[in-house]
Amino acid sequence: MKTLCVLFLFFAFFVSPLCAQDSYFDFERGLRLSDAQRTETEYIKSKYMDEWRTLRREVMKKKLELRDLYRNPSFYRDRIEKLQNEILELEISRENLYNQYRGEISRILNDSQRERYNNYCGSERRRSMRPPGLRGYGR
Amino acid sequence: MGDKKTFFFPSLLFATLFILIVITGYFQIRIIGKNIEALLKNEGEIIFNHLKREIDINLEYITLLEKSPSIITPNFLNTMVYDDAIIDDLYNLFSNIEILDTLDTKSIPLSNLIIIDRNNKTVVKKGSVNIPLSSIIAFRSGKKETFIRTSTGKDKFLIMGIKTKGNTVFFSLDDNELDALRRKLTIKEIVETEKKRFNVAGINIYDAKGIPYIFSDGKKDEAYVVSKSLDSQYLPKFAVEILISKGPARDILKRTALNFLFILLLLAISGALSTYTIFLLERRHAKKLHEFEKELEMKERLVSLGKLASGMAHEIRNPLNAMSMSIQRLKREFVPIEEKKDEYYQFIDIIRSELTRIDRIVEEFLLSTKSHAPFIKEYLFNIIEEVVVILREKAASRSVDIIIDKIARDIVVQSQRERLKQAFYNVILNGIEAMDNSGHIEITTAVKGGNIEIIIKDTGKGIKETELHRIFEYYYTTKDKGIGLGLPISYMIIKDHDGDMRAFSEAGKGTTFVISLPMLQPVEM
Repeated sequence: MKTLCVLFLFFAFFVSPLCAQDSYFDFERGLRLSDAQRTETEYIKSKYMDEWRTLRREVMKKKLELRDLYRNPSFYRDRIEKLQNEILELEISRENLYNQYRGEISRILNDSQRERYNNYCGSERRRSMRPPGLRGYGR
Repeated sequence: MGDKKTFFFPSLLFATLFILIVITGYFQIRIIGKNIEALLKNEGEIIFNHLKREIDINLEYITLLEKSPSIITPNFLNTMVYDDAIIDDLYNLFSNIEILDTLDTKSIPLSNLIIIDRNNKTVVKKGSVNIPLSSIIAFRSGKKETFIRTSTGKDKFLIMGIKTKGNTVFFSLDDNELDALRRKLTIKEIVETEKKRFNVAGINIYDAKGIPYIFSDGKKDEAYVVSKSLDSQYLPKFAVEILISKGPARDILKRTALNFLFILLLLAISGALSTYTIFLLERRHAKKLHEFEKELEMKERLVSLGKLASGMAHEIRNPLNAMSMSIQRLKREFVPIEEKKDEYYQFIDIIRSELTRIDRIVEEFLLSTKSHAPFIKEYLFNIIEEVVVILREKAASRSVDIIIDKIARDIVVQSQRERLKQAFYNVILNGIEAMDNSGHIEITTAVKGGNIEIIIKDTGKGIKETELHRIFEYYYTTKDKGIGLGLPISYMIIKDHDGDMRAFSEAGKGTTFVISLPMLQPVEM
């Protein structure tokens, strides 16, 4: 009974605040980007987006290749190790790329916008949206 | 009947209380059960709200990613990774297919699929898949076991080939299928995460047609079900079922019920013991009351008899004296002729002997009635010793030894000396007369509380159990020449001394009389 009451209090007082994060739509609207800023962010985004997608495809291919090799792991041990390192490097590259993107975006935002952007990224981190088999970016 | 009543009423009272407690406990447990159910369902509501918000936020990222958001946040990058998971899922799906004949193609969530068996025969074909020639060549040469191609331009697609267990699987996904799979995977992941986080038995999501969209293996009859419409802009008309395990509630109820049963058991045992104790006390009380009544009756009889005897004794003694004197004169002065002389003396002796006997009876009656004589402090040993001195000769004539070595010598009692002597005299004499030839009477003392117990034990023939309870009754005797006065008179005298007298006997093994008297000072043995 005591356990149930504690659980209920946990749900009532702890879980609800977890849900209190703004949606992305609210966040973006709250930024109030000027037209010039919007143009610049679009440009930066398109520049990085293609790179992220390319890296993603590379990772995907290498992972499939890794699956093939795992059918005979003792025979392909060296290649497996090499591929694993390559996948790790690609992941790190993507992470670095995101940090680079974040830096560029921060430069075109004013102080309050930057603060809002950082806060939002922080709240996303706390909410921890974790897709399957994940590797989080910007964490 | 009395015993039955004594037992029945406390038992009935206890049984009524017990039943009331059982009923109250039963309803109390049911109320606890209902409260727990309500509490768990409330938790379910909170989980539902949380789940809904999670789904909305995550699907918002997936939707916005396609609509080109202004600023990319970490979660947008995470959504891109869903394609990895989709490929993993599909790879696992085809890797696990063993027998192609039993394959249910409808259950595979792909519209474009080709499966070719080890004999190069196409066994499954759904839609069309444009397989690049280079990939087919690589597959046939055995250089590759898998291949993947994704779009780089605006027309998004994914083509994939897997060689598994001798079969070759090709499938393609267009943008819509990819999006649908991403959404489903996202929701599946949220459901799995939330299920683990909140430790619920299952979360089921149904689409707009009521067909299971995400279905967990939680059994509904083992859980409280919170069913609500999802009411999400990204999943319109979808519904959610949250299954909250009844396990914890059952555990709590089980523990509560066990505790209650334990309390009931304790209550039952204590109740039964209490009822039995009441029964025993009541029976003991009734027995004491009966004894008291009997004693009172005997005392009343003794008192009235005493009064009567006292009056009669005086009246009888005077004519007795006259008769005695007349007999003496007859014997001395009116001796008949020689041939009748012997017979004359014999008759005179009989008359004198009977007169003496009448006198003794009268004497005993008189002594028993002198209850108003003053009490004085007296050493108990002295009283008993005097009695023993008187009786030792009579005892010796029957080869009976009287042992008084173990009597405490410093015990002082308040006594009517002559009467108390009479009491001891009667009891010891009774012992001597109980032994035909040889034996001994042992007199000992023992301190018990504030009383001194005088134990007079003989080795005579004993008293039968059926006769034992009657020995203090007036005129009851088992002896040929007894008059049935000695022991009742002793009993009355001891009672007048605030004491008690009990007899224990076993036929053939002797009799023990225990006389209890209040003691004036502690004993030093």
